[in-house]
Amino acid sequence: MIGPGASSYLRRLAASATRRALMRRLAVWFAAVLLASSLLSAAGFLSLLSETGYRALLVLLLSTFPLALFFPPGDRAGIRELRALDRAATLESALAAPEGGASEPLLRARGESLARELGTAKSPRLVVSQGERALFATAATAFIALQALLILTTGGPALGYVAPAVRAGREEEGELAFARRNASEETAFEDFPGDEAAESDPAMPGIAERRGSEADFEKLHGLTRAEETGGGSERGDDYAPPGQTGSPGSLGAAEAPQGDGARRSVRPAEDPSRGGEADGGGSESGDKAPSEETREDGRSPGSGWSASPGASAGDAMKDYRAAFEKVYSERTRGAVAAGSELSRTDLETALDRYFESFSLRIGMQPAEDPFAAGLRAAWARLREGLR
Amino acid sequence: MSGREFRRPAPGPARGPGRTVLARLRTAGFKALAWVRSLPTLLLLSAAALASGAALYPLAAVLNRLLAARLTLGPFLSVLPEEALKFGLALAALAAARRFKDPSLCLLAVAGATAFGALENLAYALSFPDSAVYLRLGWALPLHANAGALFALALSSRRPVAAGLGAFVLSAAIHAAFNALASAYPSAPVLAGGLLFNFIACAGLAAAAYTRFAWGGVLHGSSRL
Repeated sequence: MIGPGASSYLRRLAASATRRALMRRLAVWFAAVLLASSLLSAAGFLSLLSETGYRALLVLLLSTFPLALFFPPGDRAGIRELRALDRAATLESALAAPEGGASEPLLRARGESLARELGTAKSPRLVVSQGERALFATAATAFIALQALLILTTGGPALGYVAPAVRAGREEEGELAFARRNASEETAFEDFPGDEAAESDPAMPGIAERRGSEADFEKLHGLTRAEETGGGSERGDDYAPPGQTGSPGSLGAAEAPQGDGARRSVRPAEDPSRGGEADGGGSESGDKAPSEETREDGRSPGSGWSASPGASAGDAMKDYRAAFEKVYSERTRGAVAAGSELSRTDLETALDRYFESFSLRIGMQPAEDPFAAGLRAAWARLREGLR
Repeated sequence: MSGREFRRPAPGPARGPGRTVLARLRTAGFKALAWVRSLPTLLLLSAAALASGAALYPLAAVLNRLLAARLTLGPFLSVLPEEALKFGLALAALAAARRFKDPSLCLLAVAGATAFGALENLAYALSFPDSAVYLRLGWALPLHANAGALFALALSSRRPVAAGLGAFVLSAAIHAAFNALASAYPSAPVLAGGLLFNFIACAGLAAAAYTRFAWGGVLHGSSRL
């Protein structure tokens, strides 16, 4: 039996121990949930988990908080805590002493004095176990790492589900190209004729993706035009089915020469392997020097500008030009293609044809009424017959 | 050793392809059982309680549909099947506590009720994929957990029958009240009040349960069971 003082002290001790235990459990639960939710967010960010799956798992995770609060403590938890404070087991002995026994008054008195002594002492310091420390550190590290990753990739922290990073368009491709300062230009365009090296370059975007993005580029900038239209940079039969040669495309506002609506190629038609200059002639007048040097040197522009002496450095315009050149060659079915050789004469011829006036190419006929022309012809025959 | 020749039993089939599939399965089963028995009892019982609670959810759904098809239950009576199933879980936890002589095992009723509520939340999250499902973490889940805790404390008290019956009625009344409130599209203050009530009740019951089962022997000199 214990006295009222010891009984009051034990009740206060039980209340504080309960508070500490529940707070510890909630802290451990919170750390575990933080770690798990960080992993779930990372899985969502890496496209391993859909938003629905994330929400379902998070709801399940958060639904476990009653387990943390109501986990069975075991009936020895209180005794262990009391023994940590009462090393001599005085209070325990007083509790266990039978009522009316000879030792009861002594144990009761000693229990009361110990309770007064312990009641004035400071509360025991909260001890965090090694496992709990490891859990807290791991949870904090995972959370901070995830937020750092989100800041670096998306520009800001986020809680909850983060959609997978959307692949950027040509801008990002251009940036990637800029960054590849040491990459050879032969590998820059894996689908360029005869350029197998680029196909094995893991740093390059996929072939289909690049073709799709370049097709979009053409749409946006009106790189090709209809064969029937006389000018302007509008799309026409550029995506004609196989067998038809496309009309020469135009770059920007430059007009390609046309003749009676007939399909023409800008470059000299005799040599399908040549050309490629005219397609770049209009808008690239300001950037002629590198290409001319390249062609004059007799180096292959078939692989874009990679063979040019100044082409090794990352140059945005190179990619732009080379991509246009490649697509242009495809659309014209090789009629305008970057050949292995292009002489100055061919270049001049192509430029002349490209810049020829519209009237010279079209062959303007005087407007005449076909009925009147028929009558005239009939009268001429009649006159001849009368002679 | 005596002079009698010790006859050793004939050796069994050698290891490897010679052993039958059945023998291998039997060996694997014994090994699995030995591993399971080596786990702490509390872990095994907790897993069993969680599984039981999760299994109660589809059972409760079927029961509710059957009763709704045949009877017109009022808001109070419609919660009885769920509460009855949870009370059954609490009785099973009490039996485990008596079997293993650990009164705190009565709290396994909360584990079962939590699994029930968690599965209910999951079903809502999959059916209604919006952020409103998180409201159930404070509105519906604590109802189930508090009911389990109430049953555990009542059944481990000095008068388990009377206390158990009272806990059942109280839990059903609170459940019915929350159902009625939810169906009446409560305003934000009412929602907040309901959440606050649930969390305060949860904290109070958790404190009472920990004090009862961890310090009961110290404060009262003996186990309640």
